[in-house]
Amino acid sequence: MQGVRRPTLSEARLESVLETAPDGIIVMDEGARILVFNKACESLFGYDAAEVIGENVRILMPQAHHDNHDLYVQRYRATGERKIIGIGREVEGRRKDGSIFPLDLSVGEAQTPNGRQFIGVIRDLSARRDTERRLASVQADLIRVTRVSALDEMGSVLAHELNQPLTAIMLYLQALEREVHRIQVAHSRLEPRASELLGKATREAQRAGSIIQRVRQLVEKRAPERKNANLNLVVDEALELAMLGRQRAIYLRRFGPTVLPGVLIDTVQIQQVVLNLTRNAIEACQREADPTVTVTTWAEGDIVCFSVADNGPGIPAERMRTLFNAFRSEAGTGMGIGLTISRAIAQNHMGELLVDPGGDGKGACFTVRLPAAVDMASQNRDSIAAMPMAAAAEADKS
Amino acid sequence: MTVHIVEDDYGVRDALSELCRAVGRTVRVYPDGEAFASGANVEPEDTVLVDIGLPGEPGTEVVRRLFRLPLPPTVIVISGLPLADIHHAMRDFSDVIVMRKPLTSELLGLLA
Ligand SMILES: Nc1ncnc2c1ncn2[C@@H]1O[C@H](COP(=O)(O)OP(=O)(O)OP(=O)(O)O)[C@@H](O)[C@H]1O
Ligand SMILES: [Mg+2]
Repeated sequence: MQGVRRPTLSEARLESVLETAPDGIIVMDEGARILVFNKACESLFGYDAAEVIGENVRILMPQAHHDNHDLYVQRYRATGERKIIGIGREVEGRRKDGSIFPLDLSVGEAQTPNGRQFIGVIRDLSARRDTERRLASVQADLIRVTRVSALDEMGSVLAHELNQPLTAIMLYLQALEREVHRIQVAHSRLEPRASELLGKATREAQRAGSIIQRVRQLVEKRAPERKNANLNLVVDEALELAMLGRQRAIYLRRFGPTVLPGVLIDTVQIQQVVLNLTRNAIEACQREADPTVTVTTWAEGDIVCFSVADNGPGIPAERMRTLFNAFRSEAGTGMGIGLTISRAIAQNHMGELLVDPGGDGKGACFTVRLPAAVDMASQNRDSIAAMPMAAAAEADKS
Repeated sequence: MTVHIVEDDYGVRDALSELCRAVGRTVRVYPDGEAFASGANVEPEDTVLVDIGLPGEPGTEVVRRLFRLPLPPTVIVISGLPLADIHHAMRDFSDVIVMRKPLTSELLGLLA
């Protein structure tokens, strides 16, 4: 009767804790022999408990760490110097099939009637590593997108903004030349000073024009790289960038049909537009109780559209007049160039950027309309019903 | 013989109209495509100057409507876009004249 003692209640409880624990739990003795290997460990390492109990814990580590581990155990036993006990750290584990994976290991120790024992709690980090890697690559994308555009877009916005008044100046000068000519004829006398000054002014205006021309050549050389793209994917990717590193929770709603006609676009530039509009929207609704940004894609015949709406205060009427003028930000933080750039990009794509200012409890809504790529447009024309379907995704919580 | 100018930038619009008047043309101006659609009475011998980058209805639409007329006027498209892009936007229309801003004295030749 004595040999087959029934487990006590606390032993049974320990057993069930071990078996249901989501983390891997290993107990080993002073000689690094495995005493307990729970269910979670079995799926983490691919061994059955029966295969490893009694074995040296080294079989769960990559070869390269074997010697170190022996050393750690020896040193700890001799000096009490802690490399890991009570601290926890990231190490590598080795599965039965030989594959290596990152894990988080915390080790505690306990004095038991059977001597000193070590308890290791193991958490698989492969999933988290993947997320980290993804995040890092997305972050790199973000930097690339913003940097490429900052330079190119700055250049093209400046060129565009200066080109308008310069065009006017050159036209005024031509009109003035006509006027001077008319006066000379009418009074049949020459106005040499007037003609001379006009000539000088015209030359200077032309000089400004050639500077703008040079900037444009620089920018346009690299500029439009048009690819036939799926606007849904382009928008989703940009949204992922926009939601990165948000401090507060923002509710992001995303609607759109599964199939859209293709668009011939420079994806980096269009993503820049999505980013600009989404950042503005987030900024505008931040102070709402339930900040919500709604991004929708749809098609109207040969036009493919996306809109970014928020539940902020909207845009006051007096602000609307100068909304697209560069360098007039009122947000304080920005340069006030986002919308100017976005509209320039939309227009460069033969599309447009429209604003519904909202107000009276409605937030602003910005819509970008782009012409569908010609061949694709006819193929998918039937699947364009603007039925909201897709997922509501929630941004990172704080 | 009227010149219709559809351009959203005030400076460019006004300067264009001054220049057109200086060469003796009658001028009407419109800040956008909608104003042009509702307010213009276009004769076949008129000239219409259209900016492509208009707010609201794009300039391409304005041009499309003009070419649907039985006897379209002379259409000159002006834009700050690269010439290749303007031509691309106007690929459906063979009779359109395109010019890039800033406009050269070439324009005078067309208006006078
Ligand atoms: N969704 C919106 N709701 C309310 N106001 C908006 C919204 N989007 C833009 N605005 C207003 O328009 C202004 C201009 O926006 P724009 O994106 O051009 O510049 P910015 O966001 O201030 O700076 P940045 O150059 O960094 O983008 C903003 O400062 C803001 O006042
Ligand atoms: Mg902005």
